[in-house]
Amino acid sequence: MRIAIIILATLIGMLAPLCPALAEVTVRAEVDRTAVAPGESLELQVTVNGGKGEADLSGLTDFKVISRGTSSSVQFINGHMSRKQTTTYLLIPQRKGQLTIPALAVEVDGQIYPSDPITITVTDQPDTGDHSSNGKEVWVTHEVSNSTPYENQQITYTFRLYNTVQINDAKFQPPEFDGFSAKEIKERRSYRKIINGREAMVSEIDYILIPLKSGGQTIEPAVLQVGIIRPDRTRRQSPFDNFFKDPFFNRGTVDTRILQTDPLNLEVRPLPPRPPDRKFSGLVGHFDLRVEAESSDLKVGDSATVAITVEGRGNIMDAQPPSLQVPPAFKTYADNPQEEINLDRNGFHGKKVFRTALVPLKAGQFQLPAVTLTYFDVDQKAYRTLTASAPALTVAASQEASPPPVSITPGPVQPIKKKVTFTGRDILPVKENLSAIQSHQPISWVIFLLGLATPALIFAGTVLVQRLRRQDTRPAALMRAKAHQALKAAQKGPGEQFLTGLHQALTAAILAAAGRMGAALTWKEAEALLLTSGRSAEEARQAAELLSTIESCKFSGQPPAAQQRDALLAQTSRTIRKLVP
Amino acid sequence: MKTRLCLTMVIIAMLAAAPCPAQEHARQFLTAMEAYKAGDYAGAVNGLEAIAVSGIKNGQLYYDIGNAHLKNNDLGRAILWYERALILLPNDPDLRFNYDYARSLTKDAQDETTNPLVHILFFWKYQLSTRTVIVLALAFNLVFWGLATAQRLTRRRGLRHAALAALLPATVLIFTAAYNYYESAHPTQAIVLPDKIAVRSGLEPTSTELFELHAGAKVKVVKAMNHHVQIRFSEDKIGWIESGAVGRI
Repeated sequence: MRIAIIILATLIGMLAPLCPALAEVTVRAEVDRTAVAPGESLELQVTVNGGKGEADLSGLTDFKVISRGTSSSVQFINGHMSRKQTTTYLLIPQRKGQLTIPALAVEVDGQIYPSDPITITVTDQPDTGDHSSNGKEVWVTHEVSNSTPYENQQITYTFRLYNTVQINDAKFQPPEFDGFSAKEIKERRSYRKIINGREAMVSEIDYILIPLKSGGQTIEPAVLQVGIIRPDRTRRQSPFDNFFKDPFFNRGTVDTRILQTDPLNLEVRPLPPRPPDRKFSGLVGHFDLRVEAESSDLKVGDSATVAITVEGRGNIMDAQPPSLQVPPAFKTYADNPQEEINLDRNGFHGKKVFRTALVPLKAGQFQLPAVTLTYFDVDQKAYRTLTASAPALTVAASQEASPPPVSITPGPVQPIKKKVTFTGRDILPVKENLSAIQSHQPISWVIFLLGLATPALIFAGTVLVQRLRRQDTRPAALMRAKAHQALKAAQKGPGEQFLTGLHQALTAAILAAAGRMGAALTWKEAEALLLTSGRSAEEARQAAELLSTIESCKFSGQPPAAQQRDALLAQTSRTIRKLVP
Repeated sequence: MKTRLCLTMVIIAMLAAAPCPAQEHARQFLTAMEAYKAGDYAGAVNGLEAIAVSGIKNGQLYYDIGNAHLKNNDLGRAILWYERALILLPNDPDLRFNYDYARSLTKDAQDETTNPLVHILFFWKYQLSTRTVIVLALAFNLVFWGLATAQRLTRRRGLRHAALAALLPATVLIFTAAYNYYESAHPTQAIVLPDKIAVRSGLEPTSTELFELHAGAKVKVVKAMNHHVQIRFSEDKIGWIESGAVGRI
């Protein structure tokens, strides 16, 4: 049974939102335009939200009414059902002048729901709506929340764009706001509004203005460039046109318009004469004041922070630290103020906290005097003085023999960097070191030239020695040169020239080793020469055998094979290097 | 023999009694420093300039002379000595600071005497002292010839490339040093010394006054004639003044 009750309750709960009787019923009448010429027609739509019913058109005596049908729809949004019925009529005015579509009564479930009346202008030249909202497609307005503010009283400037047609590419140029401090509110608002029977999209841009001086002030016109999207009349309408009712998909033309508001005149009132016995803080708005101490029981040398908080709505950013009268038994260290200031459509609001570190220098009971703040209250139109009582401080003697060094930690302070400038000008002092009298005579140009020339001369000497060495006329030197020359020729020469070159090179090397001139040697003469010139028997034998081998190859008439050629060349080169290094 | 011995002893005693130049300079310098500290800036100037006139070339000494002149309210000579010190100590921070300060006191807006592009392209000329340029030129010259000799002896190709690499800085520095020698032998830059002086169209005192210059203005001496010099302050400002009215850097 309990389960059945729970299931039933759940079902009722689920179905309850679906019941149309519980939905709110509204009736709305809209026309497609509010200005027509005689003989022209306009379209009237009566929309019933949350039910269905027929409008009573008996009051439409100034129009001929032609019904264009009814459409209805049911929507489920977030589990709620809503019914919507729209009936369209074509109205043809029967006379000129200001005609009125009266409030149309619609009966829904026995209840009468009226629509708003609509005024229609019928003239020969209907107003297209360039100067008033009547019949306009797009128009702009601007206003301020208070046209007679006090000096330094913040007011809200609102620019509104109304559009009943599709627009794109809107570019807003705000006024200069001369004579005001202006801050734009980043959050912009958009909403729909029925204006004289037509639904318009309204976009708002807000600024918070603070008049900087009293007297008459003018806010120059704001300018808006906007593109109005005109549907392509030559194209056939399709059922998907409403779906693609987006500028991105629109295939119509764009009509660019420049719209501007009228100038706004404000009369900024000066603040009343300041009270002679109070110090005016410069704040205008609504503010509160409070004073708090971190600790009321202290010891000599300890520190306690007293925080004075100014909080409210108005030019809070201009708040200066209220005067805190501290007995001479305290040292004070002021901290940078902490700000939490916000901006919304009602202006600046927030708080500013002024902290001061107090360090008692002697023991005793101390009552800090009350802190006062005088500001101008814009509602009361008078100066108001706030008073916040300061705490009493009890300071005990320090337990240590000598007071510890005072350590103040007033919290994180961001260092403010600024350009360093001279606060005084003078020259740097003289150099008193006795090295100042040591003469640094420049290197004379003669020494410089000598320094340049010396290494060049050394280089030239080296080259000269090399050349002289090459011109050695001793038999050993001549034959050594001949040996190297013949070896080079042999390396390049083919066949027989190769063997001839090797033979000449080896012969010349043996003669050079013996210190003799000559052109030809037998292998026996070669061995004997080397032995007589002090070479070892082995060395002499190897050279003689190599000479014999080369001769044999030479006189055989057959050019040596490549492998044999390489072996002979290597062996001859080695032997020549040994004989004439 | 006894006479010869006596004569020798007298000569030795005379030599010992005669003050050595270095000691004399030290004494003068210390006296000048004392005068400077005591606020006797004219005395300091006299003492320090006497050392400089005796042939001592030292950037620190010139700096001290510039300081003494500046404290003695002689802006023209202060800048002149700072300029001379800058040739020897182009990168001394104290000197730069005081020079800039002295320059800030001058009254004549000075055009750039040298194109800034020249300062960038030939940075070594303006960043290195003349002595440093000479030493570097000799060093690179030695390196080049040393490498060339080694290459000649060993026939290594790498040495040839290294020698060519050393040739470029050696050439640049040798030409810079040569230019510096020429510049020091023919100084053309000068500083106006009096507080105010009229620059005239000719050598006569009755010549038309073309423009005025004030102490510390840097000019270029174009030519000299009859105790007068023709100076050029900027492209369009040229005229004659007495030669004593400017100090050659």
